Amino acid sequence: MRTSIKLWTALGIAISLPVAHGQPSTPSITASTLAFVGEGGEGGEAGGVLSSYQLDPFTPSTFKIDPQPVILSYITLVAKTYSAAYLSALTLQRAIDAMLENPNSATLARARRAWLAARPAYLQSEAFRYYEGPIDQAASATQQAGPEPRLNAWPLNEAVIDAVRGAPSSGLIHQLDIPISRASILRLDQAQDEADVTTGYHAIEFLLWGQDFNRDGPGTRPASDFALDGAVNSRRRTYLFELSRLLVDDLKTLNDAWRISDRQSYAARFSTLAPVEAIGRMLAGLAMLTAEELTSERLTVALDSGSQEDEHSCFSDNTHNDFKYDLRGVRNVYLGEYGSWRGTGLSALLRAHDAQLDRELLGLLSQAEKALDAIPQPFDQMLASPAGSPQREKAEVAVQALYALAAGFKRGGAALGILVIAPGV
Amino acid sequence: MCALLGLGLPLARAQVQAGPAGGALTQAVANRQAFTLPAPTLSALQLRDFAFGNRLFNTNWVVAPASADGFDGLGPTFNRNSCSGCHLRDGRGRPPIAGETTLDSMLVRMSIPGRAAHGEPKPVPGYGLQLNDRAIPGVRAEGAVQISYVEMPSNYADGEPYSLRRPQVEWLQANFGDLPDNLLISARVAPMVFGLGLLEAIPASDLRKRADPQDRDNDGISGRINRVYDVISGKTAIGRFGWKANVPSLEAQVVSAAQGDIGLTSVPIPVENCAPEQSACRAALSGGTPELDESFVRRLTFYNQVLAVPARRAPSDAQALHGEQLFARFQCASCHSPTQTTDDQHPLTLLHQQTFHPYTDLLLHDMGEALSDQRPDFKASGREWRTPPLWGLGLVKQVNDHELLLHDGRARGFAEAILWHGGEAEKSAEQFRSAPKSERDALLAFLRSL
Repeated sequence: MRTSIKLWTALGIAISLPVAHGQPSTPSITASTLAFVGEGGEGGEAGGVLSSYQLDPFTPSTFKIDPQPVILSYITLVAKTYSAAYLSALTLQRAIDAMLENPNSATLARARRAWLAARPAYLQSEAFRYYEGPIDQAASATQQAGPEPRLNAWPLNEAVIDAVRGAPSSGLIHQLDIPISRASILRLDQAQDEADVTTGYHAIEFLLWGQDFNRDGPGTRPASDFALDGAVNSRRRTYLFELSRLLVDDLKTLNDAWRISDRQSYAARFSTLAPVEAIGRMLAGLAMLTAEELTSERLTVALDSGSQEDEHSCFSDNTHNDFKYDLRGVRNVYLGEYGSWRGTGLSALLRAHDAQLDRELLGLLSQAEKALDAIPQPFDQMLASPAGSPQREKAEVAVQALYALAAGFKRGGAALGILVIAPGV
Repeated sequence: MCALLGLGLPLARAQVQAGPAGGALTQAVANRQAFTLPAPTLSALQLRDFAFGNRLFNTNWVVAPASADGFDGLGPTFNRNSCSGCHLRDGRGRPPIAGETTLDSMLVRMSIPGRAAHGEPKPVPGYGLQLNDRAIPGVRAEGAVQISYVEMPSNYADGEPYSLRRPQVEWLQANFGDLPDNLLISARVAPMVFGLGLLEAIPASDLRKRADPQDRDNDGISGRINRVYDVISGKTAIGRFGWKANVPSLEAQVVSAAQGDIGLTSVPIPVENCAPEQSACRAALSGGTPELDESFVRRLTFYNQVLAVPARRAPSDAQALHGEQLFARFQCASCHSPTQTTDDQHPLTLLHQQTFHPYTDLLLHDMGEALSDQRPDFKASGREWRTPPLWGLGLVKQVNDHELLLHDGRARGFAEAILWHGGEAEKSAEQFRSAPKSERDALLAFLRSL
């Protein structure tokens, strides 16, 4: 039996397409029968910029419990997450300032600790990507991208920033004829190559740790690289100073976008979305982060290349925490929580529709968490081990568990009458 | 192929795009990453291959031997050290702009008159078929060119001025002997690379149906299939990819570009791109035999097959809809075919039975003397170019920070690109030139919505 479903996007496009009813996990999208059927979704949001959000039920979803507490809990947990990310970035900025004022191994160590402490909140916020929210799409009328590529872009060709082994005068820091400023840093950012990343957490990580040539630990850049004398050191200091400010500014923008008390904010608009739109976005973010970013781009690529270049936090050897807190972000959204705060999550909504499936999803989530925990550290040593090694087998188990979880979110969506269309699920 | 166009206005309606730009391989994202996304219909295993293909596409290949085992073998001579160097964010290359001195996302093809063993252009003695303007340490690059422009001011029929700029390629260096007097060159920018699997899966019978080499229907538009040498099969095949449709498949494109542009050998093309006269090039160390192993080729090919097509923006915008009708009325759609379909013959089932909107017929058309590069490429004459797809063109500015169009990036925006059209397309360009400004703006709004 074939039924028509609608596929909504935020640009005011509703597409109706037939799917084989009862098989929402393998939608048969027959484009030849697609037709635009007029206005739908939330036309005009984000200044008429199209959304990556691609889900909707074929019949208006009738939730068995009031979905509003789930949506409001989501807004709260997003706000808490970005607030924590912003505040921890401010702490990082202060630690960097203190190090630049008095560069020595102790202040550098404190700055590194502040960087490590700033990562968990941001990583948890990655579950709020992939539906053209403020992180991906600026709220202006022009088609400008959100700050994500400035915040967490990788892999990073560090030679664009500073000297690397074998190239002692490479990078903007050594191009003495170009003054270092926010503008000059941004002008180079990903301009010639996607890996020419000049900003964000990983650029700061590179400046704080340097390249990692140690089998048993992270990079060991000396504090003297930030000494108060010398033109190059001075430029490196300015570079790091500017990056810390840019990071804080971008996180403040995100923090503000999710303040529901501001009636112009994205959060305020999110709260007035049709519930199925809001729930759809939440699920899309979970499926996309789990299958595409976390599992494919960050885990399987590294496994398939065996290269440390593909390790997410390769300078600080913090990659295991990147995985862990990304998945924590997924848990937060599914359960409606952040830290010790508890709200109402998707789990409660799904439980009302299909308690068995909710239990299954909770099981898949903890399996994935356990499987990630079981990957031996440091990550780069596991990568260096030969194909079929026990360490690598553990990582492959995690890959399977994560893909299974992502597919679970698709089934969860189907139970709620929402078609989650995401690669890999 | 163009008989339908005799029907007049009702047909304009029939040509209006109905449905997502890339069928089920569409992603509705309009930011800087718009060209980089995988088709939403990939399985988990396919997503893993896609992600690794993306990694390979972005890999900065290094000089062999290197610690980056498996990712060395750059050069000896090359154009860029990665695929994404030219196809930045899977997008479009451009000629140098003010202050830039190197070709960073375009290259110069070269040859002498005549045909080589497989019907391809004849290599230039000492150089080959393409200027490699970079080389690894210890090896000389082949040379360097710079591109300058001559402005050619003109007016629309309503008096509004415009100017087209004609590029001139000048040689700054030629390091392996004097260039012959009968040298033929063709500067070409890197094209966008999404949606290519769909183009690969268009049945050959559809291309043949659309082709009209003798213009039997007397619409002034021919449309020819290029027949080219296939490095994979060793046989002659229908050309589909490249500015002159001189490559038959994505696998052939991957291994040809790997060898010609980056200097990576593969099983189908096991030799380095070194002319016999370039001894240092020939003596340089290899990064493996081959440098790009079969699993890499497979995943790079797959990556190029399943990069999603960006959805059209604001398809219900009245001005863009008006422009879409003009696109048909001006007969742009005669070659830039709005709709294509696939059957179920392609090895990748996710490409089967798709209806999509690339705005190309994949055929060669005479584009007139002003656009001619004077350099034949298999069956394509100097004046003939393959109709390039138009999908995603409105996002190039967003993704690649420029709007330089046509094969060598000479056109500064859509209007200039249209005005350059000559030969079979001259009538269409003239209709645009003589249309009132409101109609010209509508047509541009339509193109920007793609």
